[in-house]
Amino acid sequence: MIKKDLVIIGGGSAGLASAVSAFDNGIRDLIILERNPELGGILNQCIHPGFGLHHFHEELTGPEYADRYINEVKKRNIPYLLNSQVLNITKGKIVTFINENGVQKFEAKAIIFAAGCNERTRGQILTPGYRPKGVYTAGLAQKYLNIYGRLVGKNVYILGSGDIGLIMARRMTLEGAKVLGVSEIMPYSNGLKRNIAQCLEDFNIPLRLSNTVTNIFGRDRLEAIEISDVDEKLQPIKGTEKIIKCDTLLLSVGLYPFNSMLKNAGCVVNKESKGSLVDQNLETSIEGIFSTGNVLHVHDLVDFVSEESERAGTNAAKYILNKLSEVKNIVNVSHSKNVSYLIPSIIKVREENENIIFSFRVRKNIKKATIILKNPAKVHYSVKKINLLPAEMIKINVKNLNLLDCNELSLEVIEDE
Amino acid sequence: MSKKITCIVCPNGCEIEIEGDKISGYTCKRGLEYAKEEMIAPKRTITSTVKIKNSNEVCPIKTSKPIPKEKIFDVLTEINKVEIVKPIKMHELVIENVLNLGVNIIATKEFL
Ligand SMILES: Cc1cc2nc3c(=O)[nH]c(=O)nc-3n(C[C@H](O)[C@H](O)[C@H](O)COP(=O)(O)OP(=O)(O)OC[C@H]3O[C@@H](n4cnc5c(N)ncnc54)[C@H](O)[C@@H]3O)c2cc1C
Repeated sequence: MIKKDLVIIGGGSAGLASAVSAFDNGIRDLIILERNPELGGILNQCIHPGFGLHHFHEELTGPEYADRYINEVKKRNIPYLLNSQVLNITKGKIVTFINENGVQKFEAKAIIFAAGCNERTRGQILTPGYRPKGVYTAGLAQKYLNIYGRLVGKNVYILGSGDIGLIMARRMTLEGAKVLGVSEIMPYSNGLKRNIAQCLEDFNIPLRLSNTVTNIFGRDRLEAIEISDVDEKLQPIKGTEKIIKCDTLLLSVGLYPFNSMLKNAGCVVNKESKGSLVDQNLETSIEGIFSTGNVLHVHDLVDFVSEESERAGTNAAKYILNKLSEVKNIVNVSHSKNVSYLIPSIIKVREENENIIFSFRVRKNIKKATIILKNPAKVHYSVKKINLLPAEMIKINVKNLNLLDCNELSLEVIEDE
Repeated sequence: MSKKITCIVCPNGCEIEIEGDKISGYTCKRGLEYAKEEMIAPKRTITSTVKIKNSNEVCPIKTSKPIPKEKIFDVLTEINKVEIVKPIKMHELVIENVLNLGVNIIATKEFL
């Protein structure tokens, strides 16, 4: 079997950034496996501007952002295989993949899993009614339009106010479709405020909050939908039904990490983020298998994907080159109830002072908050933040944490008046 | 009369309030500039795609600078008339000075 120091699964922004940083930290025997015919991942279909403000301090479109990283990979002559789909990973770090040359295997010292996320589909949110043609996930419609130039419909309704749905509302409008509205079951939108302004308000597209699709009509092709307001328990309110004629319904009801392959390999799952459980180095419960990007937790900003993935690449390189010092203490990390997930779940303490990045989301809008890190005996860190939203991942960078004699750490978001 | 707008310059999405010539709620210089411009002559950067000859894929493009909001659909009509040929370089010129707006349409992806 062919041996490799490092196999990177997925050539999206996460895979590309981790490959570059692993290379820059001394790894030469590495390869990227990508199932698509090109590198760049989801960025290829995100042709709108809005990428790179943190990382490059200028606003780029998705393909432009991808291009910068693809160039870095090419400059270093980092090998990659396209049209190569990974089928399976084992605990022993054997990677099985298939391409035009058949089924092949690599035996890796370390793996970085960067396979991105999937879109939730109708089955998972259980909309009633028939299953006619004309119901698409927003990301799939985006791929058809932005990669192949094919508009999936003319009269469109959108369920869910996530950013992909908002971006597609504008995009389909610009291509001549009529977007009749967006329904969001929650009382607030999950999309960025600027996307509500520039994608909906600019084109007078109505956003209906606390509203959802309650029925779908049409046997062959979608003919109409029924929408209804919902109460506080998210149950449809009788008497508020409204019929809207449309030929297309886009679902923008959320994304989830495409993590099943790591789960099958035996990596412990973080039930809250739906990705793998990782330590501060982004290493999973199996030594030498790292996870990063949307497959670890769904990111709203690619800049944060790149930053996280550079860390994964650096740490995988240290692991391969035996540069990680011995673990002196293990700390379990928990969080308060108003936090929906937190990464990392454990900290392997190797140094007296550790610099650790914590990423998390809150469950509801919080205007003003104090975020603290503490164990029962001591507050280690505290910072104030404003306007915390479930739609926006929060990242805090904590320097010089001394955790040698601590076994529990908890991150708490305290709401301030 | 006061008006509230959402700043679209970055993902923070600040709520800016404009009251006569008093502007508040912005948190950076670019936000202030955006608010001023939004009052007189709103502009947007437009992205779309153009056809590529002999290909089943399309090439993403953008306006090199923001264009007046009321010209968006006219510019898109021009963009939809174009078909380009491979190889396409990053930021290759697709339409020069579209509709005399002083703005170019450029490719945002490379096709070999
Ligand atoms: C529609 C949309 C709009 C967005 N808009 C913005 C925005 O405006 N601004 C912003 O900053 N961020 C935005 N984001 C977020 C950001 O772009 C993404 O979070 C980021 O690009 C994800 O990178 P990734 O590498 O983790 O995943 P992906 O880009 O999905 O990459 C994963 C790669 O792995 C490959 N892969 C999967 N399984 C296998 C397998 N078994 N074998 C081989 N290869 C495999 C896939 O083909 C893919 O290329 C948006 C995201 C989406 C989905």
